[in-house]
Amino acid sequence: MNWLVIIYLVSTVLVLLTLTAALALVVRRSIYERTEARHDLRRKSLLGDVLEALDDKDFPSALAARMSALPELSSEVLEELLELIRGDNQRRLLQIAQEAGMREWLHRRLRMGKKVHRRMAADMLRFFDDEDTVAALQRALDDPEEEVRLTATLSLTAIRGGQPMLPILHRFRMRMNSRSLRLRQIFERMSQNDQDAALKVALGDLGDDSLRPLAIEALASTAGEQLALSLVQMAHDPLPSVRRAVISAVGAMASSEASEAVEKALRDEHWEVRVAGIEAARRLDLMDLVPRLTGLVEDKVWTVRLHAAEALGKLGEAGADALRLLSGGGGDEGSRRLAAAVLARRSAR
Amino acid sequence: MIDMELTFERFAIGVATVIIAIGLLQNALYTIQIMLAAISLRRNPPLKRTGALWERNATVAPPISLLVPAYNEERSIVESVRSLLALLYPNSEVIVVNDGSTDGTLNALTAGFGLLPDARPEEPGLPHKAIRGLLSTPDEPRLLVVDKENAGKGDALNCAINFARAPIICVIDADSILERDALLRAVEPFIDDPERTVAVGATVRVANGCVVQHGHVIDVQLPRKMLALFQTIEYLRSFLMARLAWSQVGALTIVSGAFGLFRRDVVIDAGGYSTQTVGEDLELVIRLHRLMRDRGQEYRITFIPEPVCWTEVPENLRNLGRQRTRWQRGALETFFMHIDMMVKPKRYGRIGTVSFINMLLIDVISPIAEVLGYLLVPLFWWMGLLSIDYLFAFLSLTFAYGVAISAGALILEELELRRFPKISDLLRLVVAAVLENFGYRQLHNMWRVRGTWQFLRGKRSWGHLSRKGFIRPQPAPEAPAA
Repeated sequence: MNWLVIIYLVSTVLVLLTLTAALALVVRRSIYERTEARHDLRRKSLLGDVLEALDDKDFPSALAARMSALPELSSEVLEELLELIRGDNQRRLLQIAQEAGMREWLHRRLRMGKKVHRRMAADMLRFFDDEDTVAALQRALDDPEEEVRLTATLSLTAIRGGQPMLPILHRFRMRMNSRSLRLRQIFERMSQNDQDAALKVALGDLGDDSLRPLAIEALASTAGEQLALSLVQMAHDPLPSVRRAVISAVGAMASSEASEAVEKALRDEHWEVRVAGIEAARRLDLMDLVPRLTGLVEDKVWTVRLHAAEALGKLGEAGADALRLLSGGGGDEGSRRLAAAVLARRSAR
Repeated sequence: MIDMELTFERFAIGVATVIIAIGLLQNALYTIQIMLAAISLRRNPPLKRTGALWERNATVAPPISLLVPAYNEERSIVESVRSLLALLYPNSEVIVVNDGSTDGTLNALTAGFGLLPDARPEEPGLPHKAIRGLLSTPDEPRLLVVDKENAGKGDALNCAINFARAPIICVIDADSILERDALLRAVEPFIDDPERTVAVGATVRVANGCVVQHGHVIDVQLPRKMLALFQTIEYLRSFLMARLAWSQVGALTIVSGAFGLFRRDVVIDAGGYSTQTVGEDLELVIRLHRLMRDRGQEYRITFIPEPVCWTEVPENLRNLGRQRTRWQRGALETFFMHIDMMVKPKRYGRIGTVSFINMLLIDVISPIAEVLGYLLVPLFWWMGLLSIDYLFAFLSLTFAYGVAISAGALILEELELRRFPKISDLLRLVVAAVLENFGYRQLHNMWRVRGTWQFLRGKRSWGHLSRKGFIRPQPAPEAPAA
């Protein structure tokens, strides 16, 4: 066979393949559209029936049987509704789902589905608070996909069955070095359900320093004044990320125990800690710190200067006087301009 | 005399062989790209429901500053800014930079939002031309308008970066349209890997033909004009195939200037946008690679296909020619600015090897080789040096492969994303994928050769590009009076 024949043969094969693929696409789309339309109709009908059953204490067993026969569709309806409804209605929906065998179906999906289905199952199982589900989610902590492991951990933290969280977290971290911001969600849920465990992580009991700031931030949003003392003690931690998180947390908690720690943070060598200190000083209205904040308007890091100037702008007349002094020639060119800009915005408000 | 003829014949066969080899290499590259893109899409299918996306990302999404450089956008700027302010995202601000517009862009913004003079402090991070004024409004504290002297898109963006307060910046063209959940989708790499992710690119699609209302695409339709339809295919190839593929192997060198997300601190460390090239988006990404590799820091520059930005493409040859000539010039300027990265593969890894060899082949050599092929192969045949059989065989293979590659991109789109609503759309795109090989492809290469010529002559300007505007929904006809 000579080259000419080969070239023409390859070209012909390519064209035929392309045409076949194009035809297949069109046929596939037409089938897809019909299937989707049918699927949509069935979904709407099931959704309507489920919503009706929520108002009926003795829901028809036919509905459970129907859901059991259409687990894929039912899981879509469940996923959609569980996000929207709360309280008694949610409990009733879960009862229907349980009767329809959805929990077992989700367990199977979590074990054997595709990545996207395993993640979805891990997420939905957070609503089923029972031993088998906890065991299934714990098994999912060894899933090959990080996303599934993270979702399973999140679901375990959400289950209010009094799960001991530290071993779960420990196991989870064994297989994951990620710095994902989603880890914050674990601690947000954990600080609601198991504050002691969250505090232990914050204190470093898990032996993973990267998680400590996340636990501290989460505690700040849920914990009361009594925890502030424990947090303030960490303000001298050798890790800047922990110091920053602690100062931000006590600022957010408006803790009266914090002023000394905040003052120290303003002199920290790490600029992120100084910024956290400035924000805390502003939130806590620490007027004593106005002179220190004035000095920070000439900091070597611009972000620190900006936050200091803006904090002064919000600290009443004492802060405004400090800014006037700066803008009138009391500092370098940059701080003069910064102070003048903050003052102008302040007066515009 | 016979010796001379023999030498010329050998020369002609040599030239033809080189051109064919380049064509084959290019096609091999496209085949690899399509396979990599398919793997990527299979592994990470997009999350379909916006509600689920919100639940997953809203509480952990970092703040974003949307930066919008605007030059003579009087007609659409207010609507564009309103749609950006209405995006589904928990924490964002919009900074519009009026880059010395000569029309009423600033007046439209001032009147549209009731803007008043402001004095937001500026970080002295990146250099730019003088600012004439800052404007904002207490009614919409998330909006800041910067009015400055004209100096081009890169300069305007540098200025906006200085004013941005969020750790992530999103660069968007004033005439582009983002889908409502685009930011929530595009930010995912910054959530999943916040320390290493420095830039994220997303898909840009052709908006010609689509119906736009209040700054949102409400009805996806294909362009009516063939030229825009060819570009729809091109955009599919470029975004869904090439960028996804290079992102998959960590060799992505471009994040579109129409829609891209960056870590602000790293962009400032890299020196911001260059004002020395018309390909500032490509150049910035390559400089980010250089910076991170010089620092020896682990990093990711990635592309995700699902967040969609809609843009209007030129519908006449004159404007399209200008645009493509400029793109080619930008690519060459960037390539030669950073050519040292190619000869240091140890230091610059895949960027120095895969990406730069790809640029060398696709941007530098291919346009010239293809145009030379179209001219020389028939010439050699006319001179009796090449057989007509081989000439047609070569052409048939080239076109068959071109169609197959475009169809491949279309298959990826249809299997994983399915954004074209009608079956007839698919058929029209298949027809366009065939037709673009006869005329459009050759013209495109001519523009690229023109761009190469302008680069060699050292031309710098952007050139003017007029736009037609999006299709608005027709108001319902009034009922005739009884």
